[in-house]
Amino acid sequence: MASVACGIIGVLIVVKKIVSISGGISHAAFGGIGLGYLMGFDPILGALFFALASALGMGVLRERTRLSEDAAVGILWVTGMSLGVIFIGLAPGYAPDLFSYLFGSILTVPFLDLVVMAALDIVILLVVFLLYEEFMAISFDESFATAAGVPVERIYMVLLSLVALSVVVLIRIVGVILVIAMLTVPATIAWQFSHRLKEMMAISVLVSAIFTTEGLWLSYVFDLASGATIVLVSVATFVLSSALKSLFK
Amino acid sequence: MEDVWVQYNGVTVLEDITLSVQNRDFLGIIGPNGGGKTTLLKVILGLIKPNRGRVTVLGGPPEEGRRFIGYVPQLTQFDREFPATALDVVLMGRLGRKGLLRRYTEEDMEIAYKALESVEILDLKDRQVGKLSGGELQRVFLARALAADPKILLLDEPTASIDEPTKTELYELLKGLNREITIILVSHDIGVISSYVDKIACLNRRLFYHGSKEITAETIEETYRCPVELLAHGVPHRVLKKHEGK
Repeated sequence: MASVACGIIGVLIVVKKIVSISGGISHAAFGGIGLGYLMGFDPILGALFFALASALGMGVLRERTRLSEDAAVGILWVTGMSLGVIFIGLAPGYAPDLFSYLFGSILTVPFLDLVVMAALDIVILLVVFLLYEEFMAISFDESFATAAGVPVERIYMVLLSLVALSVVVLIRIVGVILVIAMLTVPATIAWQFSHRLKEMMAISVLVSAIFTTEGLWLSYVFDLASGATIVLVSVATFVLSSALKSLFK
Repeated sequence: MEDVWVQYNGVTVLEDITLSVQNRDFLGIIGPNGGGKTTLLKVILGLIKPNRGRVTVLGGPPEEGRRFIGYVPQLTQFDREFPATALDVVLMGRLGRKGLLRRYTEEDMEIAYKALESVEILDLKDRQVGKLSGGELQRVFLARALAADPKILLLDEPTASIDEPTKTELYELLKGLNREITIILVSHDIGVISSYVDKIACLNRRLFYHGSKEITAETIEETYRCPVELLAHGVPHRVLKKHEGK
């Protein structure tokens, strides 16, 4: 289920080169997790709210101010993390599954989170289906897209919001800190084998599904942390496929 | 365009520009880099708001006129690995017509095919854009602009980074298109420009507009013998400064 989100959105992130922004959004989401602990609601909903707010915030910053996106990401990143830490510190008692939000733990996902993830997946699929051409156009050439009458800024905001949604889907599996790996590695591998956007998305979904399964199995057999294992499996495959590619070129 | 001024951060980029282009003109605008050529095109497209002055495109404000303009931007550095085919890029020209949330229709496809055909690269439609040569790429961008079914074509340095024979082919192509479409072309390549355009203007912050309907390509050569020769010596900046002093 998570593969759908990270496969498709990952391709858009890599192609549009907004990897670091996505990193910022995922870390900002941690603030929401902390707030969830403090106020006593499901942390995943807090993460959803914070991720969306930071995505929209990034879009507005880009449009309204001269602050470079790079710097904005840095600020967003640390603000989210710090808020999270402070909220959790204020929350009564010890946060039992905090570690699972940071590094992921796919085996302990509660039912409500599964429902949220499924709903977000559907939203992501639908929006990408409807705005596929626009996403491609703003990634390729923003100035032409503007001239052609595409509302570039708004489409970009929608894209960032989708990134926020997929971050939330992925947090449960690989955790805040490793989310960015799942959004970039499968898509980058797909890019090595295809130069068609649609094909890339399909390959990327498939590849990340394989990684998650493989990583889970390995983590079970060797008793390792599941999120980190999934990421390492992905990276190892990436290195291998890069090596193979340059070998056969 | 009347009395248009554009300033960036207090620096004047365009000063007191008054320019009018008639239907089916082929206007060449030349000037040194940083002379405001690209800015001028963006003002026409309504992408940059002038600080002073008025711009009318086909009788309306540029935001409305934009729909009738095909824009070929300066060859931008894009990712050569970008996952799009030539056809994908040309279809982007239909975006303004298609409307949000809709797929491309059969008609969009047909128009895109026609645009590719008119620039003679239909056979390259499935080629990934990064694998095209400079000239082929420029044709793709031209086809993308044509796919919007424009009345006016704006080209920004279309011949930068392509070789001489390809340049000539491209100009011949534009000449043909000019039978139905108004063309405004910006370049510092005055040598080639002057034999194809029927009006010419020099832009270096201020506009020196020399076009008149009677002027033929030959008269342009006559009138601009001096700058043409000097430009060939590779000192375009000095030429235009001299010009300003006149």
